Amino acid sequence: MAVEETPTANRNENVVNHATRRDSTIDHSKVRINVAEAARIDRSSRFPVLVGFGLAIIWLLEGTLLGDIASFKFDFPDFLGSQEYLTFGRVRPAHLNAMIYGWASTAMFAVSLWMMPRLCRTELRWPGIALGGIIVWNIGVYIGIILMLAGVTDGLEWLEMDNLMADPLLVIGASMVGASIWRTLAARNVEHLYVSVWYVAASYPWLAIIFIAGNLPIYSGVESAAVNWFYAHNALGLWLTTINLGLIYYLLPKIVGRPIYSYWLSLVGFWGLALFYSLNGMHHLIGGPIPSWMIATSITASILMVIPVVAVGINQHMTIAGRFGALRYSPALTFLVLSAMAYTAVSLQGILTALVNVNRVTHFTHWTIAHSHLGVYMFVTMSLFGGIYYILPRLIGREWPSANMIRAHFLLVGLGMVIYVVTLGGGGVLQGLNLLDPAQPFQASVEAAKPWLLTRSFAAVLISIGHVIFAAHALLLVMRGRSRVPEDPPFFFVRPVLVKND
Amino acid sequence: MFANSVSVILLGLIVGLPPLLFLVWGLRNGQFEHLDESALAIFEDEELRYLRPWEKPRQVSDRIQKYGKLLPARHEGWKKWL
Repeated sequence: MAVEETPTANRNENVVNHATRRDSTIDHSKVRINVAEAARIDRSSRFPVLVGFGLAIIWLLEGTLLGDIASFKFDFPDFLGSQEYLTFGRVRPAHLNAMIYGWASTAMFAVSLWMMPRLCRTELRWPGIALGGIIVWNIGVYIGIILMLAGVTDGLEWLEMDNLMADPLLVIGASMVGASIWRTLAARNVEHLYVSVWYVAASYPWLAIIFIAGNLPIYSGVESAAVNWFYAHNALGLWLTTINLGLIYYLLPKIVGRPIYSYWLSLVGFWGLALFYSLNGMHHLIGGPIPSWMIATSITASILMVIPVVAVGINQHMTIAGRFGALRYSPALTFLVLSAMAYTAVSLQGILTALVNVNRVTHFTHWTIAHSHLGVYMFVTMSLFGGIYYILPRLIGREWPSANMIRAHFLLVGLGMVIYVVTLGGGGVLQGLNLLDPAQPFQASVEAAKPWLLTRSFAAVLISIGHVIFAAHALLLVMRGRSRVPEDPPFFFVRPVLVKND
Repeated sequence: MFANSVSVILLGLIVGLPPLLFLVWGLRNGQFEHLDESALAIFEDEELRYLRPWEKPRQVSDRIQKYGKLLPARHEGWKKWL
């Protein structure tokens, strides 16, 4: 029984089709939409998604430039040091905020606006509000970062943006996008919620709660530090992670052409994250002057994360196992698989880092920067690259123009990030060991890290070139115009791009 | 000790309790039933009936057995890979 054949299929689409919902809990394998319907659903979200991707890619370039400047300041401390707004203390948080809130969050808005209507089998509701939300959010991020470069900051990690001028715009913007997502969910034509729906729908209220709570100007002293890390870690785990795991759970099976290995495990992964994650953040304060029960709880919650992380890792690996040849054909799949592997790696690394003996060495070192880039770049950004490679051609109606540009992008960012994480992680451990050695002066820890920091800057240049190629390629794709509405199943848009075409 | 940590305890509950309520809602509304069928919900009509060129013969026959006779590819770019 296909959806279009149900007796209620021709009714007004704003009326929720309860019969279809009820049927869908009986046998999902027989409730399919056809390609034309998928294209119609895509059209409903097309404009806000394209605007979101466009703004996100601009942020990617701006954030990359800021990151490069910050990186080279470690190697050449006087580099661009004559202007106050280009000093390290301003450029570094500007880089972080541009990448987290500008690039990743904006792209994630777009991804969720594209994915949610498909999963709910209905058109996107309130697309104008969603578009307005993306624009308001981006205005807020621009104001926040300009103020940051001018020296106006809240002074809290991940919460640097001004809480009067920028933060309200971010809350309003995200709430508008979230309202569209939840309205679409409420109007869904299926009763059962696929695991990606759980991930995406939960992300928006979580973001609102942690962002508002983190920015309330009522904390002081130790409590402020604890709430700060409550926010920062949950921003990673309950916002950046959730949308991207939802994306991977949607695209990985579709591209490979087989359902997820164990749907039950995917639910274990989601509920494990939802129930255990929120107390993880305080492990960043090990050794700090906060109650020992709080540290112990945080370490325990971090270790409990083994359950959802392993569940997700096994599930994603077993879905692609035996079919790794597919990576040669699909750049989207290649990025997504790399991202999924990075999720497992960074999560296990994070659990390891939460252990007191490991944390004693790695705390206050460049290891933390390598760890955060493994998460926010290798996992989150790679996943978003995969999503954009998959989604954009369907919305534009044309395939990516150049296989060589995709190859160059993948090789540059992949190689660059491996060099980045390995060298800076190793350099961080050496730095930490020197810091712990009472016989060594502080300068020894600086000297130990210097060559690794220079290698990091080299890696950053590779990654930056990759980003420029990616942005230019996306621009080429858009400029070629829209030739036709895609009518083929998505499978046909996957071409063998990571191997020679002849 | 707890007096200094009220905010974090409250925030932990605010973030952690709603998922618990939704978990109960999901259990009561059959969200965790028919799991194998649920995993197929994301696929479009006949999406699983196209040959993937990277698949081994055993995987191809498995696909035919599960989803029916394969459909011909309409994209010329695939021909040399089939």
